[in-house]
Parts: sequence; structure tokens; C-alpha cells
Amino acid sequence: MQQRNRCPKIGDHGLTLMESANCESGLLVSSIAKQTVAFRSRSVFAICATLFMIVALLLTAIAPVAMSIGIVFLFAGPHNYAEARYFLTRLPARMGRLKTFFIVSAVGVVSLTITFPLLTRLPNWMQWPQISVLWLLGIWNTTLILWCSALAWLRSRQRPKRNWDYALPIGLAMAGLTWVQPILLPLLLVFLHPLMGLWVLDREIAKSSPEWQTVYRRCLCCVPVMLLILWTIGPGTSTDLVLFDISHSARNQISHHAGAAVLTMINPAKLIATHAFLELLHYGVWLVAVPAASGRVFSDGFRNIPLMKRSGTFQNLISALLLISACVVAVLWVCFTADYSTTRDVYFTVAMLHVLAEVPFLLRLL
Amino acid sequence: MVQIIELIICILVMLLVVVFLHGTVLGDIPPVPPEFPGTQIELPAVSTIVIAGVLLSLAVALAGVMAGKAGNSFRRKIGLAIGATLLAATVAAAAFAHQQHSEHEKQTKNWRSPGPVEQFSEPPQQEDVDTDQGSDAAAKSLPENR
Repeated sequence: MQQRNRCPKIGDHGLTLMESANCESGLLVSSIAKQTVAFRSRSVFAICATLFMIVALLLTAIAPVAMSIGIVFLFAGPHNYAEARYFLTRLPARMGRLKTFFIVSAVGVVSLTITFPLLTRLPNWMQWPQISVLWLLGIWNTTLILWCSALAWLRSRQRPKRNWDYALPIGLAMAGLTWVQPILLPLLLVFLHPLMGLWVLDREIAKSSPEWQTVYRRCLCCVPVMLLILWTIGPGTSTDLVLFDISHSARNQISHHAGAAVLTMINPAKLIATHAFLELLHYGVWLVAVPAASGRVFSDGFRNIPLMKRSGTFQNLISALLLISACVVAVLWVCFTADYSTTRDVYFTVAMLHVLAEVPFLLRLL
Repeated sequence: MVQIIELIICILVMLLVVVFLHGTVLGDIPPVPPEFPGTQIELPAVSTIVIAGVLLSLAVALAGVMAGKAGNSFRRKIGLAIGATLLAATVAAAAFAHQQHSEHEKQTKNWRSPGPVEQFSEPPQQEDVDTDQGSDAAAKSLPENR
């Protein structure tokens, strides 16, 4: 690259002083043009990101319950589709040495997702005592943490190699701490999962659009400040219930999803607002920022999906799966319209799949 | 045409899955979900201490072994020593919690109800008190349309 951008010296290949000067000035102009483009792109990114965050903060502070209902209705399905498309662009055509990593990932994602809704329902069906829910939760938490640790350890053995030998001890210690209050980890996932999307975006920017990284990290610093604002001068009560004609049952359900039943000492309106704000950031990240930064999620049709290049069968299979996924998004909208409460409950149970799927892909990016 | 039919079938299947999940597998989800079953209860202290303590001890010991692998045997020894201390502390704490628990259970077992509270057959009567004055005052405080 450097070889191509360097001008030949005077005398090389009979080059005159004038020609050499022209070449130097041409390079200078092109460098300035590149810098200008980068500056413009950086500025546009900064303005868009800041505006989006401010609007998200204002909307969730003014109408937390209505925003929570609205954003889940509109973006829950599409953001899952965008995530699926992004993950497909990141899956290699042939697993090769990554086979163990991806098999462990898939087994963990599927088994943990299937068992998650059973944690509360199995004791009911089997008429076990109430405390068995906590035992099951503790076992599920331990499995989840050890799965993450195992993935981190496997990832550290792959290229580029990482010195993550302490992944397993840290995982064991965390698993031990979760047993003190097993109910907290699933709730923590609700709030930490949106932040995981921000981490994926950071890695993607570092890889594909490094000129945005400084600005992006400054924007990230604003997130805790905005959360602090939301918690100090944010909503004290859900004032939007009357304004948007929202039933108290819907409000109770949303506060339940935000963890109001567990964190009883915290104002439910603030919990709902925090959850809605982080969810909105998460949807923005997956629907706009990651596709824009990577430039490979929706662009070029399906050409950026390596698995589709493997064989005709794979191409048809993935095309069909993506088509079905797009249909599921539409079906989700229909179901939300028909029965919002039930669909929201089912969605938040099944959504564990995409929460867990983000872990291996984030580890691959680190 | 075949693709469109396939698409419609897919949508119908998905709708059926949602309905099935709603009605059969997940059980009827009430519009106002009840409080999470785990919020009102806690794991027994002994079990929590044993599980958390053993896992933490293992973590520290394993970290020590990892450090030893890097060639620092002093760190390994320190890690193993802290792990062993934590394990001993776990056993002691569990034994203490168990003792507390059994004492509490014994007290609960030996506790006897004092029986029904004796009811006064008659309200205590005060002598030399002009009750008429009191009733007059009470009558005055009542609204007009009594």
C-alpha cells in the first residue's frame, strides 16, 4: 500500500522536478480529501448517535410504559432478523478448527434456551415445593456461567490467541456468588444484554470503520450519565397510562419484565424507563449502527454470507431459513396486534435464544 | 405459486406454534403475571454457604494452579493455601449455620400457644365518673342527620 502511494524520486525513470512535484501535490490532495471524508463521516456519526441517545432518553423519561410497549412491538422482530443476518455473515463457510467452538456454542444456546422457560413451570407441573424454583435457577445460572467460561477458554486457543487462562476460575467464582441470590442473574441479563450489543458494535467499528471509534467511545461514556439523569430526574410515576390509555395490567406486566417484582426497593417507573431506554439503544445498534459500521449485513444481497457459498443445498437452505425468519417477523407483528400481553410474554421467554447467541459471536470478535 | 403456498403454510405453522405455546405448553398466561415464585423465598443458608463456598474455593485454587503453570510456583502455593482456607471457612460457616438453624427449629417446635385470650365478661366500670357528660359530647360531634 505504501509502495503505491509513494512518488518516485527525481531522476527515477527520467522524472523531472515538475512531474515529481505534481505527484507529491496529488498525493497530498488525495490525503486531504480522505481526511475530509473521514471527518465528515465521523461528524455525521457523532451527531446521529448523540441525537438518537437524547431522543431515546427524552421519550423513555416522558412515556416509559408507552415506549416500552411501542418499541417491543415495532423492533423486537426486525432486530432479531438483523442479528441473524449479522451472525450469518460472521459464520465461516467451513468450520475447520472452529468446529468445537461452534458446536459448544450451539449446544449451549439451544439447551439453555429450552430449559429457561421450564425453570418456573416444571415445579408447577410436578407439584414441587416453591423453593425448587431457586434450586433450578441456581443450576441454570451455574451452567450458563460455566458455558461462557468454556467458550472463552476455547476462544483463547484460537487465532488471534488470547491469554484468557483465568476464564474458568473467574467463572467458578461468579457461579459461586450467584448462588447467594439466584434470581438476580436472569434479571441482570435483561439489563446487561443491551450493553452486549454496544460491545459488539465497538468491535465491529474497530474492524470496519475505525474512524468512528473515538467518537463512539465518547458517546458510550454518555450512557451512564444519561442513566444517572433518568434515575435522578426521571419519571417518578407512570404518567403516560392515562395519556395513552394503557391498562394497569399491561403496566404491571411491563414492570414485571423490568424486574419490579424482584427489585421491590426501586421505583417501578424508573425500572421501566431504564429498561426501555437500554432496549431502544439495543434496537438502534442492531438495526442501524451494526449494519452501517460493518457494511455487510444487508448490503450485497446474500453475497456476504460465507455459508451460502459452500454448496447449492446450503444456499437454498439458508435462503429458506431467512425467508421463514422474515415471515416470523411479520407473524410477530400480527400476534402483537392480536394479543399484545401474551405475545410479549412468549417473546421475552423465547428471546433468551438471541441473548445467548450473542455470546459466542462477541467472543469471536474479541 | 408453490413458494407462496409454502410461505402461507409457514405462517400458519408459526401461528399454531404461538397458540400451542400459549395454550398448552406454557399454560394460560394471566394478563397480570403473578409475582415470580422465587421472590418470596430464599434458599436455606447452609446450602447457599456450602455451594457458594466450595465454588469460590475451587476458583481460587484453580487460579493458583493457573498461575503456577506460568512458572510462578509461589503464586500457586498462595492460591492453593487461600483456597484451602476458604474451604475450611466454608465448612465452619456451614456448621455454624446448621447449628443456628437446628436451634431455631427446636425453639419453634417447643413453642406453645398461650391459648385463646380471655374475654372480658363486662367492660370495666369506672366509679365516680359522670358518663352523661361524655355521651353528650359524643352526641354533639355526630352529624345532624343521624
